[in-house]
Amino acid sequence: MAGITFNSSQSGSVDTPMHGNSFTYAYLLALLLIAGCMLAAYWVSTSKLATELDKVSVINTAGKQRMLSQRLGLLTQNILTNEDESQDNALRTAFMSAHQTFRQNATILRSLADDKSASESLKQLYQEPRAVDVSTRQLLVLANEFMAATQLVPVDELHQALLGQQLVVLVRNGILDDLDTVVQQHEDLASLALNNFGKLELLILVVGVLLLLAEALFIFRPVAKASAQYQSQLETTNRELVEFNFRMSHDLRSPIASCRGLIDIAQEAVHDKDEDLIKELVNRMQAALYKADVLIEDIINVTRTKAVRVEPEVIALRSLVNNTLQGLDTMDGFNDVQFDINIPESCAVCVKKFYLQQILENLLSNAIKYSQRADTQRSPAIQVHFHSAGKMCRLSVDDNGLGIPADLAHKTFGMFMRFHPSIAQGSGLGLYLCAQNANALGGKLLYEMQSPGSRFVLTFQNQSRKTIDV
Amino acid sequence: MSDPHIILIVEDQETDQFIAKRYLQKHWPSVKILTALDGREAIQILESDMQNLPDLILLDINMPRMNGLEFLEEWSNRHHLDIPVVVMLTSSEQISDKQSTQQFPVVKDYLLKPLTKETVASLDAVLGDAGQAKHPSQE
Repeated sequence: MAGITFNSSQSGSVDTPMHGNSFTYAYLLALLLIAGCMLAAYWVSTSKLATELDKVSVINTAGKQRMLSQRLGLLTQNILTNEDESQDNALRTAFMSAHQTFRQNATILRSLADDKSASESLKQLYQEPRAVDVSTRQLLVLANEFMAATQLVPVDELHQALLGQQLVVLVRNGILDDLDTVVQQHEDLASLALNNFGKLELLILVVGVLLLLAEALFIFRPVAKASAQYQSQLETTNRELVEFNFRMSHDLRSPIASCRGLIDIAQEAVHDKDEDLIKELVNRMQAALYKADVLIEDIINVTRTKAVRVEPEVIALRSLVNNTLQGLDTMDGFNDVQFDINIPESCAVCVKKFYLQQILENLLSNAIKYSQRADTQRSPAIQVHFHSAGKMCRLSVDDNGLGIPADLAHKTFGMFMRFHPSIAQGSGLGLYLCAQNANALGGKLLYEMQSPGSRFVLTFQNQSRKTIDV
Repeated sequence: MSDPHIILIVEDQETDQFIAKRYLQKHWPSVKILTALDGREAIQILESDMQNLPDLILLDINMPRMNGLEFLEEWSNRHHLDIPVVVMLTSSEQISDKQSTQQFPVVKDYLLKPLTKETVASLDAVLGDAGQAKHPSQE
């Protein structure tokens, strides 16, 4: 079965491209883009609208000019036909006021026609031979002369009537048509501007929609994807925690229940004064409590692995393995094992020592525990090999012991898994803990079935660029 | 029903096996007690002598390699008939565990550890009911 590999990632964490703050920043960026787009749209439409309002007011001015020319004509007729002297002043004042406003408006309309942005057709209206400007000036001159004539003493009624008649004729036959054309021109221009404004609005809408699409594609989609991954990771973690809590509570209760049963028997043994039985019961209680203690220690380790923050440090790998083995030399069968540590003395890696040390302790103690009972003809042997390529390191622990039953190999890194209950009764959390630690090292732990024995391969990231010689 | 001749304890904790054995032998002094560390070992023991299946199996739930529920499933698949009476003996107070065992008609009771004199005495009734169900004509 050698070569079949089982991966620790079944109980590991899922790498997600976004976490916590990244989500917030992505949403903030999206909101800022939307806000920026809305502000830009508001600014463009407001400034454009202000320009269009100016054009609308020009239409108003042109229309007013047309009415003023009519008013001047009417007032002229009224002044000429008025027989009530008390009305003379009022009529003259109204005429002068209309005349003054007409002059001001003429200046405004002239300047607009001279403007660079004025249309060709508007400019033509103010050019010879049919220039609005000429007729306007004629009207102003005639109005001036007519006002002067009305103020002469003695009154020259003939001259006054002649001027008035010329003025009325000019209004009726010339300037009204010209001013109609001016109004029409400004209306056309305003209509064109409104049309352009509509196009601008459409452009803003298209840009806005494109921006939203871009946001959906480049911001919301990755965020949603990361969020889904994050949720999946949380659900996996939650399932693991539920299972962990359930199994933990069961396994913690188990030795306590055993002790309760042993105490019941002990009470009878005390009554019967059966000292041998009492001694046996005490030993069993001790073993049960020891087991509970080991379980609690492992649970603390698992919890610590999930919670503790460990900084990488440079460690001499060979020394770490040797020190770990020294800590295990009191185990049964330790002295029968032939160790082959294939790690250069000078090799060092920058890594989170806490996690690597726990992995080594678990893998080596398992290898020793299950090494010598498989085949009495074979000498127990354990090999530790190290290899690195760039930042990735590979550390393997091989043994020729019992291995993990083939049909249970897929559960290698599961919680509370014990594969040889008749030989050793651990908590069943050791390999689960190793897999968690491998994740914390930015790597993975793999199990490969050997014939006979096991191979565990830990891949992890060296936090320094390459292995360091010490 | 007469006393059981053979009882199989399927339990991975050696201390719990010891406690169960002691109470069972005290209650039925002539009973033969077999032990298995998990479901897989229990199947091996049972299949090694199908002519002499135990009268009662005390079955734990949480065990390595093959747990109690997996054992029931596996045994039901392999042998539809001649299934001994099973009484669960576990530390698990999970309702889901209890419900899972109820789908197997051979499971007659669900006991919480540790085994005591009183719970062992209650097994008489369990075996009696099972005997009546198996041989109704004897009533």
